[in-house]
Amino acid sequence: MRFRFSLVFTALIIAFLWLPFASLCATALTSAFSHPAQLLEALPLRPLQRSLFFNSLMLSALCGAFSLLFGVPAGLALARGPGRARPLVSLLTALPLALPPTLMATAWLEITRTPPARSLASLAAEKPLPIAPVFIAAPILALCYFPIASLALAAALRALPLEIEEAARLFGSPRRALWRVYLPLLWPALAGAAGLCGALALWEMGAPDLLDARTYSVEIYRAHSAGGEANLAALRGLPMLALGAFLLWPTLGALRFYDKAGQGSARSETSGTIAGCAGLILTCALFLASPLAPVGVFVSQLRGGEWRVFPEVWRDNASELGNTIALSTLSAPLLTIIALGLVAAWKFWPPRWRLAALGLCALPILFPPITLGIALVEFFNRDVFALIYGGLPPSGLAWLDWLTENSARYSMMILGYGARFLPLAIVLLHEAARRVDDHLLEAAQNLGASPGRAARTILTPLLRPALLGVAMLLWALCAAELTVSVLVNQPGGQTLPVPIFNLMHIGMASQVAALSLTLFALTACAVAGLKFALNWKSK
Amino acid sequence: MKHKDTKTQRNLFLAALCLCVFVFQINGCARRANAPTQPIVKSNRVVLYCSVDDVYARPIIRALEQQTGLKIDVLYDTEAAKTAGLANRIRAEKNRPQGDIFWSSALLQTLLLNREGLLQPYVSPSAKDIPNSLKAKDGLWTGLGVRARVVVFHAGKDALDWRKSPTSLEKLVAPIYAPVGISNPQFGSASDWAAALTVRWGIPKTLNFFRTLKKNHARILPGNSVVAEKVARGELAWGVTDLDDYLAARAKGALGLNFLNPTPTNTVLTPGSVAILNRAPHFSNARKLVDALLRPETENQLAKIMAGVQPIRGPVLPMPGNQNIVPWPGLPGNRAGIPDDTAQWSAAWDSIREPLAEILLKD
Repeated sequence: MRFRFSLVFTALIIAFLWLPFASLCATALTSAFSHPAQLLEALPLRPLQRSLFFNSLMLSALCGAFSLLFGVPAGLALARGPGRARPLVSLLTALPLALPPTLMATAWLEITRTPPARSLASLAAEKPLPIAPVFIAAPILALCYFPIASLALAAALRALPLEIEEAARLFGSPRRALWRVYLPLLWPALAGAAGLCGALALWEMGAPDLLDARTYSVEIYRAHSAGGEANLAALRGLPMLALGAFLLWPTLGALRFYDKAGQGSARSETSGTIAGCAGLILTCALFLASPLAPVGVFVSQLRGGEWRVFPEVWRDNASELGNTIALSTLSAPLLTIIALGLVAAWKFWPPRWRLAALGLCALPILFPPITLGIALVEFFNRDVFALIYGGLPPSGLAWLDWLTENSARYSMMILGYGARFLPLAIVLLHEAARRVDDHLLEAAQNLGASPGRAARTILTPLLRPALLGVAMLLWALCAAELTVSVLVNQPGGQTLPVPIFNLMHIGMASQVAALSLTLFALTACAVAGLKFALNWKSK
Repeated sequence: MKHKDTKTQRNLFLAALCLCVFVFQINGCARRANAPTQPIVKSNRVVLYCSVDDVYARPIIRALEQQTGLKIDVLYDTEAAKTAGLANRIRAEKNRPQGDIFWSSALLQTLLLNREGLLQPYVSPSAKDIPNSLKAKDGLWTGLGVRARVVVFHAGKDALDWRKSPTSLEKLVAPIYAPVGISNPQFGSASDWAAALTVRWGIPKTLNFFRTLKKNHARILPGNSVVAEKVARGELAWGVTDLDDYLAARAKGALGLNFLNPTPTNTVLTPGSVAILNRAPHFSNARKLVDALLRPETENQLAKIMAGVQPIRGPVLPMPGNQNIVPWPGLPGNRAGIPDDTAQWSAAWDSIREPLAEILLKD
């Protein structure tokens, strides 16, 4: 009975994650077979599609490369830097995660309005290069995503056995040791991190739109908003699916690497190396670029008494601010609990079933967020989902109308967050749960505990740091999410990133600065919570 | 025994949950099936779909909430997709509308929605003194504020000699003025502009205009404000934008902007518009809000907040700190020569929409 219950629960979640997107893609492909000319939207044959493909590929590749460039020094500092400086490095590395890419792009656009940059822009404007915006967008996005590379490298270095490090020293030359020992061993982790950063850049819509980089996400959003059909949007998003799979393939290799690597014994013995100290210095320099420079830009917009814009902006955007906090606070624990429920249930499944369920729940990570947003709207905009999507006429009963209005206001946003971030939560918690010894649960069952009780009393307490960490991470991601929100938000349910995005296009500097700092403060608190959870786990 | 009790409790809980969801669905279906055209509403909620820039609309909406006692839930769209995005949403929700009122910063999308039967008539007493050319006879839509489409150029030290300025809009396509910046004609007031030009110039001349602009590397930018800013900063020499965006960029100290003396033929005045959506769930509240929105005081407040927007009724408001602007044809008291062709915009848009999209998509 319990197995059946967990099976049904898993099936429902998989259906939620797959049905909207699969339904849209199926409709799109069916339509494309009837009208073969539509297939051209998906293939990089026409000049526009070629340009989009090239721009998206370049943005992903460059972002991945820049993420490694920025992330490697920080990773070295984390793993091999002076022991006393590691908490500082850990903080400096974590803070950029709190800065959403849209805010980073906003800040750097303000920086480019300074006179020296302006003259360069004028020169570029005379003969605009089609890929120039991509070359600008890539390092800007990398400044947000490089902590992923640094954490991946730090974890990989810590996993190296001491014997390997000692053997590497026998080479005598650090360069030979690097090429012959470290790079081959660390390459999977680095490639996985670069691939993940590239995929995140590929899916990002807000920052490339602000920076005028024509990528798939931007073009799909603009075309769909101009009255394009959802089918065409889905077809245009298919290359993103392929590119995303290509970029995330190395991440599987990285996960296998971490799986095989042990705890490593090199951590404390090899701290304070030259590489680590150099990494520390570079990390401090990088901190100036992210997040100090963007925050400084926003603060500079508020000089000369403009600080009083804060209360005005909070009052004008009270609804969006409240929605951001409420929706993130509601969604993060909810998604964490759902992920925990799945992971706990799978602990008692046969290994093949577990792997299949994990695969089906994790694959939706590949779905492009812009297409996912369109798919959710198409799927839930039906009579049977009126309670969720909205459109129910008032009943005249105050309490019922209140319930249906609030349900319509918030449900689609929660579903959007779920569709976007639940696969990530499942993967992260599954990785954490794998490290819990199955024998503990077996022993509990042998003593008469039900699987549910064993999961509740043994697995959940052991996963507490991971649960807190995942919840905090989801909170930050939900608060800063733009791509899906801009499509699924309902009247009265908009969140903060949307007015920031709008104001940036209009050019309201002090209002943008105030709202950006507010959003950064919110996400920074969540990232601080994540750091606390990670420290708790390590203790 | 305890084990069975827990199991029973869990099953009962699940059954109760399913029953609640089922009841809500049935309730919803029943209410939809039996809903009168104007349901009896006790709620003070009204849903406004607003494509006016939220920074300008918010203070007005806040004031209207206080005046009317209504709770106004607003849905704004992003700057990149303005008006067209919201209009498409209204189309997508036509079988089960969530919105009550569509307040647009332009007119074309309202006309298209009207043609598709997605608006419902309401003749507001506040709209009595609005000219007939700026409202529908049966009250399906009503104009609110009007702004002009302007040509701007950078007047910095590296600007073109005045004598080489284009003498008409058509001459803007000359390579000497390239690259010109325009906002995407598929969205917002730019699509109104394209439709108006089609009515006045004809389809071939209009498409040729945009084709030549694109051939001369015109920058298709995501918004009128972006056009104004890029011209102000000198990244572009020339641009076509809205008067309010020009004034906003000028107000920030970007002194490089200016515009040509307008002529009746090339002047396109874009009115904003207000309309009640068909089958609006809160119709009586919607009427109340429309009455409040269309009051002259509200229009004047909009014109004061959004410099460049002129009230349809009442005196011309002075432009902030700009002595170069001549009395603009088409403003109240000075409409002589401006073609009154808004009724033809929707048909004109139908004929150029797809060819224009093709032209813009080419790299």
